[in-house]
Amino acid sequence: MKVADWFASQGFEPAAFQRELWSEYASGKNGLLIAPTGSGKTYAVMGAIAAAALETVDEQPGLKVIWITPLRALATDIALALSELVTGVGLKWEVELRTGDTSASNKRKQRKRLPEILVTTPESLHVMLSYPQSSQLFTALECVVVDEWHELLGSKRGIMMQLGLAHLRSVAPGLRVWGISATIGNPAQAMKALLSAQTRPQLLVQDIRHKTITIQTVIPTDIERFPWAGHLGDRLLSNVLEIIQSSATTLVFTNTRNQSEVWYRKLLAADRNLAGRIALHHGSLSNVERAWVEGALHGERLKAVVCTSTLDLGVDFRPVDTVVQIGSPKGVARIMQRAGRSGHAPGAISKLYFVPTNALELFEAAALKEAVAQRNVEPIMAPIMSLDVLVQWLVTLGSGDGFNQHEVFREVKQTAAYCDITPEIWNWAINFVTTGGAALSAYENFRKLEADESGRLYARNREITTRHRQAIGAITSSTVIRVQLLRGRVFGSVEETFAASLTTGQIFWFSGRALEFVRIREMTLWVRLSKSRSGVTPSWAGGRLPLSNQLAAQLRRQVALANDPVAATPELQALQPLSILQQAWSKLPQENELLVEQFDNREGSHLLIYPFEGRSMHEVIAALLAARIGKEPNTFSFSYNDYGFELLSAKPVVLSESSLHELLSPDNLAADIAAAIENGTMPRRQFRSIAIIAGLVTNGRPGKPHATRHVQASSEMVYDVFKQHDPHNQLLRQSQQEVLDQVVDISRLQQTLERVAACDMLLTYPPRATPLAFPLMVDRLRERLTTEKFTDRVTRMQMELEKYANALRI
Amino acid sequence: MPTHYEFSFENTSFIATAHRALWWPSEGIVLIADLHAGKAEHFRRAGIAIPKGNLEADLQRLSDIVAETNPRRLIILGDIFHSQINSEIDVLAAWVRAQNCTVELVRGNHDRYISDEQFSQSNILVHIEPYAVGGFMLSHHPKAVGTQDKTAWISGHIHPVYRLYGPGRDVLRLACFWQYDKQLILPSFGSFTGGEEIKRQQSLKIICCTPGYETIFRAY
Repeated sequence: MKVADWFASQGFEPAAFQRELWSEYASGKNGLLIAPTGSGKTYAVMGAIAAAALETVDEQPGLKVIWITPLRALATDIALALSELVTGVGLKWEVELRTGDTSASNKRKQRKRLPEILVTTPESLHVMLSYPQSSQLFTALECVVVDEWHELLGSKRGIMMQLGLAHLRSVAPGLRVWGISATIGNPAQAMKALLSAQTRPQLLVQDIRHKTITIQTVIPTDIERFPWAGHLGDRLLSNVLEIIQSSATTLVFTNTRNQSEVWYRKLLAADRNLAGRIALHHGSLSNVERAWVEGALHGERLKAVVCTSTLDLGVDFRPVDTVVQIGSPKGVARIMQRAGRSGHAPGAISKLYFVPTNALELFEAAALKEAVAQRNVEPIMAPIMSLDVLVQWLVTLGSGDGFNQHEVFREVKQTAAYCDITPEIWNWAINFVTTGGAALSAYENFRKLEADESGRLYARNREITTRHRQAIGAITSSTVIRVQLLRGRVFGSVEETFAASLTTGQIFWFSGRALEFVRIREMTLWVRLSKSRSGVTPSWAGGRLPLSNQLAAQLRRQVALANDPVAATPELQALQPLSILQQAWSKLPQENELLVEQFDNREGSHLLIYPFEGRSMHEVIAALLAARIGKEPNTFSFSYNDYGFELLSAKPVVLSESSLHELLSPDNLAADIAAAIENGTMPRRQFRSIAIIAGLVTNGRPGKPHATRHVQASSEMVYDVFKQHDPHNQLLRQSQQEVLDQVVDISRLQQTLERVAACDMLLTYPPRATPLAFPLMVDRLRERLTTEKFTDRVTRMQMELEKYANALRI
Repeated sequence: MPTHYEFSFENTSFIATAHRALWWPSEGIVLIADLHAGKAEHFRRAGIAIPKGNLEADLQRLSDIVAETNPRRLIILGDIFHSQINSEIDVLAAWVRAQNCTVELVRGNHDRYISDEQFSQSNILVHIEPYAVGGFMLSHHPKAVGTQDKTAWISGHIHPVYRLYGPGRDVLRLACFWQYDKQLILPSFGSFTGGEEIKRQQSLKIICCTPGYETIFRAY
């Protein structure tokens, strides 16, 4: 059957971009397809491959297509969809999975013979290449499809993909590579990273049909004029329940796993009828738990699922007609992706309800709506020159078929990530895996790879290859511990630090259940079910999302618009009481102004600055400012949020408009920042993931005792030894560079300070904490007080400020 | 900045140094714990690129302490050597031969790879834990919890580390001398060693050393 006929038999009408892709693929092109979720992108690419195969006269069995998915949890669904299409059109192709979950016997079979289509992850691809004779398996490969390329592109996993592709291209000449990506701000760059310059011809295919997205903000009835983060959502619980009840199936997105646990519990407690019809889905739950939820979603057995980014990706859940987002998603692409999870029928509208968790998030709601209307989606920057990934790759190749370093140098240099690699850096990397370093004597008796007579480099022994295969990857999350019921099933995993904080008998909430801690043994936290109604909820690292540049710019615009007494949008209207108070005591800045507030109280002297650039940028600006003020950093205590930051000191900092301009000047930025991070702990912390990826530190894995205990060291120890005894080690330099690029984001900092330099300084002296200042002051307290004391204290502060404002009749 | 901290433990005067050694003036003994010589070499042999130099630097620190205090005896409270024998034993042995004091070891769990003969060839005198000296028990492992033993113990093994919070979200993990009950635990002396965080609860004294060995101070 022709592919178009199969489409017709399924009741689909091929879209323009699908037809375009079919004919371009047939003519031998590589490329990147940009299309939103639910647009039929999988069928577009697989249809093209199938159509080409149907044209081929003498088909040989064996591997033709590798389909890469970023999440192994998605692999099964993808494989089902692909095999439906290939059998539908009459191809006798087998589809198999190869992921970390594949059984050892299947993996062994696949080492000898592969199916026509293999669905796998970047990590599993690398593991396959780490076995001898692996290259032979790939010689007849025709196409590699990298699905959800936007998920990989911005991380070191994207570099792993680039390296793997460069290698497959030389193993299988004539290989075609296609990427599939959600809408992003820099599609041309994304394609460049996927396809090396040598891969020709290239083509960017975009689905230009515009799906209508409407975002509706759930506006609280009374606005707190002194807002603070993280509790307003509770008051909107009944609104969320109403949305769920009036919809068929709702996805409730939260920004963190911790929040999803909390919301799941609250929704269930508020409406007992939801029992059995509401579920929880996040990345720390076990595969079994998640698979059950996904199955129930497909089977229309659920009214709502509280979830995190784990449900951003993957095949469509057709029953879903409504999406709720709790708290600001901090990015335009993310909100569009999530909204797109509802409304699949052609021409249907994707509808998303935004639930702010504090009043100021109404500004963000207004900003989001505007940015989505303009389709102002963030670009994704691909990291470059990560030597930890390169070093790992060399050992991968050395564990498999071995390699000739000149050939691999050419392959590596083809990739966008390493196109600027110099022979010096390359030699350093080769030395690092052979003799250790430039100074031979410093690494006496070290050997990882060794050359045979022909100069080909191989891993020295089996212990090295075995340990290496376990460590392949670039995901370096914190060490996690499996959570398992005594004599029962695994619920998922929590971080080691959380597990260590528990005492025997303590109750904690996980996977929506109250669990009693029994003991920890061999990386497993044993629990029994509890009937308790109270308990702690684990939190996981990396919870905070940075505010994107796109959204930050729009946010500043919305704050400026709030100056207008006739506010245009419901969000800004609702914010009026807050805006009026802010204007009375201080100002609301225009887009070309930087608001600075100074006031004293019992706590000390407060200096507040509002660049509206996002929390992580504010952390860096605050550190820079403190350093330039020239006092010991600990004379200040700091507080940051997405809108601004606070420096609290015992004595006031005397400021003028001109001195502010000097202190925040973009001049001499690089040197000042370098000095600020040189002696700090940031490079040391950043080194952790580098050390893991480069194979210097072995990570314990849940449920398994440390097989590698005898070579276990912490990244801090390794960092210190390098710093002392091999200070020119390139991996140390990389951690400095990563701090500059990722933590500090020096190019965005430069842009920000240049924008600030062009701003007028709006220096104000409010009588008390303003609505913008209040959440910053609250955040500073949060870390010092217990939860109950904290809430009491904040409520008292709120009441005092309200009393004062009311007395002034504002 | 102070480099020594003098304190009394069971009515006996001791001096802890920023270099993580303990000087016992009345007995003329220098005590250290957990040197872990051989560890970096063991890593290199296993294919993990750890540069040389930490053992040499550690032994230089130890030489400085010996020169300063001129002890009769240097006693290492276990884990002098980390792994199966490797070339770093020669570095250690050469250092021991150059000393005027006796160099003694209370065997620790890591030292099991090396026989008494091999240690004595390196001029290291071996004791089995616990080893009684001047009214104290010297040991590698701390005294077990719940024993009836009323003597005071000085030991190692734990590599105690205390967490201090700095400004912002800065966290410092500092190696420390840790006293609880009638036990004094020494920090690990070796620079290529990790640490286990201890809690303040039930502690009597926590004396911290900074990572660059600049200073020593009582944190609790």
